[in-house]
Amino acid sequence: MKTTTRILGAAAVLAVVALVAVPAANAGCLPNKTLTGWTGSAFGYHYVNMPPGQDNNTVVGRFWQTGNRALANEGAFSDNFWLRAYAPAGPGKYYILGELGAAEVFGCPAGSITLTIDTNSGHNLTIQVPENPPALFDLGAAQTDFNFGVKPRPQVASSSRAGTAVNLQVNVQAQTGGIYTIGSAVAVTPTYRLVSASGSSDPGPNAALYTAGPAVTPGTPAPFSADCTNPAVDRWVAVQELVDGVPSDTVGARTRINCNPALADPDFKHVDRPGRPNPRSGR
Amino acid sequence: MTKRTYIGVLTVALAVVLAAGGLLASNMGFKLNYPLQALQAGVSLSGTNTLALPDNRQAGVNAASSLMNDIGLANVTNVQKFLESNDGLQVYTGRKGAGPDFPLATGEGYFVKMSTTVNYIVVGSHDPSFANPLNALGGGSNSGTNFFSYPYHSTATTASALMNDIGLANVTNVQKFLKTTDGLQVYTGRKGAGPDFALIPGEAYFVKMSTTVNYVPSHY
Repeated sequence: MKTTTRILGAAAVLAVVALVAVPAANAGCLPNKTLTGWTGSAFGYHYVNMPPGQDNNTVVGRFWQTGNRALANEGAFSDNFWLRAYAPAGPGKYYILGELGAAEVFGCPAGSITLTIDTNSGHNLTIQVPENPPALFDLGAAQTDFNFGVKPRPQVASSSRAGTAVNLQVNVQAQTGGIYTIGSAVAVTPTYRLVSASGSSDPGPNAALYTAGPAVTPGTPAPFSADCTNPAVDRWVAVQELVDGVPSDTVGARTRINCNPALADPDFKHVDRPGRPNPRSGR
Repeated sequence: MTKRTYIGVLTVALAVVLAAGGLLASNMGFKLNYPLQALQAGVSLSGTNTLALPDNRQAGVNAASSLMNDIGLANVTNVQKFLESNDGLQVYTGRKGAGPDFPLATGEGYFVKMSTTVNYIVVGSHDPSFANPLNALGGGSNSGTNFFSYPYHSTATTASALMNDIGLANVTNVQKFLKTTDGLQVYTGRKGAGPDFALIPGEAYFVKMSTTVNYVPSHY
């Protein structure tokens, strides 16, 4: 009886404690938190320099609570709500200002935000920013404008054919530029994996059209087997980046693996230019 | 008393009454019919409303429980108090197993979650000498965010006017709770800010401060 009473008493205390300080549960942050490199930044105004031909309708922007995208992310908060053009500064000049109390935001990021912007042109911008002070993710603390980097393209180091498969050794270099870690945030380092798709023409940058393949470490050749069962269509290999474990929406430039056995034996791929006289042959 | 004298006395008396009225306007008693909306498509996403009570509340309405009773307990799911120290909410449901009741404080805004829509008649008066402590980060405030009970007859009728009345340099932003989405509209008053919005008597607003100000609202 005594034990039961104690258990009930402890449960009651726990229930009270739980009810006393309920965190603000809302579609977005309640009260608001701000993600900014612009208004509200303690470090002035900083631009995002968009690659040529890109704008906030063509890119795919995402942000989330570092380490837990499922808990808090951009939700339905459209890119042009937080990635905004600043026309007075000229074309391609954008700034980041996102009020995370907006209902479209899913959950409320806390501690640190990881932000990525992917383009169809193979460019990427990745920023990791701590919440400091509370309720402010101050991108301006980088004290620089933000430039995009270029996603790597797979480089085939060697290849061989085995039946209907073309076996490759693929090199990937890490993305250079476009990666920023601010303040006390843990340094953000993308990981990479190969992806592939079939097609008689380039499938394009949309990552959803590719099948995920093996992870690759920059600088270390990785094996990759291209399925060439159907010689009429080629395989396209690309690199997909994963930032904080989250795969990018677009892939980098594609490398074509020609499946036609008459053309694709890499050992004999080199063809002399026809019609050019060879002085040694006497022709 | 001649007719002329009578009119003269009447004019003076009227002037005295008007003058007194003008002097008392700021703290005279008043009523506000404020709709507290339950969940309804296109009107309220969850039945959550903000509520700004007068500085001098109706007699007896001094705690979450008495506020719920005044509105009608059966119509109210809970009353929520904003906690500056952790940007969280203390919730009182008034039901079995509920957390402890909490006192209402002058100048504080509250969330009221409704199960049934009620046109709540708010009764009370303004205290023109009350200084709202709007706290910046530090000293017990997690982020400098305050849930401000907007006085019904403030001269500031927009977010921008409120920021200016407090002192623009001291305010980071003003946030309006949107019932239809349970989201917030934020006005910063700075370059690249979203649009200004009107302040509505009965609503409470989040005011985020960069510098602590004891704010005495301008009023008419």
